[in-house]
Amino acid sequence: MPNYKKTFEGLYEEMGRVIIGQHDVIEQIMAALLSNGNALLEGYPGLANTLMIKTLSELMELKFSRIQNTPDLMPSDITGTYIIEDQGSKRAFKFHPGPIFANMVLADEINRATPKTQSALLEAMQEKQVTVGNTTFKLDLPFFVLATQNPIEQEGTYPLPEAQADRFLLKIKVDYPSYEDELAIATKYAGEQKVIRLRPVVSKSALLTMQEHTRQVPIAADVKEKVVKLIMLTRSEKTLIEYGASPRASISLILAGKARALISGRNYVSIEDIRAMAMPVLRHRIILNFESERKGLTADETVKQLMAKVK
Amino acid sequence: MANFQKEMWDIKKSIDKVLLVEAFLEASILFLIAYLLISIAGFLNQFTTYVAIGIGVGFFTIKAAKNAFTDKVQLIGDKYPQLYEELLTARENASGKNQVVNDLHEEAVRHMSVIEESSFFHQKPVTIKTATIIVLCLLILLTAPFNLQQVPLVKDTINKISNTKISLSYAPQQAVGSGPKDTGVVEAVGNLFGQKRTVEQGITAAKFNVAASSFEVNLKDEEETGEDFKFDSVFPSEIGTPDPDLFAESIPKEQQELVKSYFRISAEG
Repeated sequence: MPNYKKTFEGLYEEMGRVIIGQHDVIEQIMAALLSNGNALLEGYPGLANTLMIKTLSELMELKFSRIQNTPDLMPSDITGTYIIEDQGSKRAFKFHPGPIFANMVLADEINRATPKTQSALLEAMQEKQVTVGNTTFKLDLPFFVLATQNPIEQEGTYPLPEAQADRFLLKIKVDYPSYEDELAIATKYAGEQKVIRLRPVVSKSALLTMQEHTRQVPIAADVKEKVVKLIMLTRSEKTLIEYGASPRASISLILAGKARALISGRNYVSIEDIRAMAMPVLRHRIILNFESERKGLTADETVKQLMAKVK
Repeated sequence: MANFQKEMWDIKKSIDKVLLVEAFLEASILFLIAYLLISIAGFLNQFTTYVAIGIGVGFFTIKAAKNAFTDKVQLIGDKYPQLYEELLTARENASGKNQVVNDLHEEAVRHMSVIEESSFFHQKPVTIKTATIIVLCLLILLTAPFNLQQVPLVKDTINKISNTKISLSYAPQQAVGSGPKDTGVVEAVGNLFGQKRTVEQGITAAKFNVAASSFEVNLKDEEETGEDFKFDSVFPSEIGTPDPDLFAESIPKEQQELVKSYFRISAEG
């Protein structure tokens, strides 16, 4: 088995030529990608979300597409549609694939699309296939959707229902860069424009093999038990949480832990992997109760409290 | 995979050996303490020595069995925390057949090379235990001539306790025989001939008095000499049995034969 730690170090290095900082965000996106899951990115505008995902697709030789969600976006705008075409003497319907037919799809501001369009996207995400009319089209693998949500400007949006949000493996929070990072960003992008040619680090087939290896990473029973205890605690801790996480969260946390282990160059899941992935896995899967919200607790703080309780 | 299991087995054996040394030291301490106490208390003989050895051997056996069942990965994890999760996962997936698990086993074997047998050897406690053994051995040697039972105060106390025991064993006025197995003098110890005693004989209770005598037999002293108690060897020649006729009035006729038989048995030892 190749040394994945070196592979990812190379990827981060190459990524660093375009994206400054955001190491944790890149790592979490990679974890979602290796787990064959999808991620929900929440951050303020102007944090290079699009650039980040585009760069990542270039480094992995993946086809990239971007869907800008708006309230008038139709499902067929995503999935594609049949269009009548002249074929010599006759006319025939020909399928024109939509932007969903890519390996990496950036669904920008997913909460601006109508629930109907959101459902079409989420179905493609889950099934890795698209049905248009009577025909089902398999999506090219690896298939990865990264949806972004704007935490501000909630006016006129359609927030993802909890059941839909649960389908995202991770909810990644993109924070503002540090002072040093922002200074470097300003220096780099406010100066002379240079075309940065990126060197692909991981091939598409290598990525598929990585996904296979991720599932093979063993996890000790002790660590697995801690994961389940944490998830069950989200359901029993009624003083903090109104609705806890589903068993899908247990699966997601273990998978994300496995992916992080592989990224870190380990062939086993450590409790550190679980700790690192618990927040992105759980923050969109728990609903705090009124009392917690009144106290100003966030989902992340609650998960941290629960983790401290798991022995 | 086989390599990993072999390596784990080797480490387990090494740890077991180290733990056995410690268990042996602890068992030795326990034996020496038991021996010292028995020796000081003056109960030292072949049986009590075996008791002390038994305590030591019993402790060693229990401790060795407990050590054998101790989770060795946990012990390794205490010393090498960075290896704990790796070894635990590798052990739990010993039969795994995929590439990642195979790699994990190879890596675990490579990482296990940092494990040193000496790291499981608790130097400070072992030094303390060894020193304790030496001190206990010296104490045993130094206290060998000393016997707690020779201390006057203790001696008196022991005598008092044994006298109390005797007076409790004998009813001062009368006793009732409880069966044929009680035939003969029971617990003929103490100053039998100096006091009024009731003796059990046969099925029926015999009521008779033994005349006071100036001779005292202290069986405690006899025991300390280490000689078997032989009644006739200490029975003073000048003591004679009063004429049975003197007692004829107080001993029922039908029991006189029993009384005679008692004195006959007593005289024969």
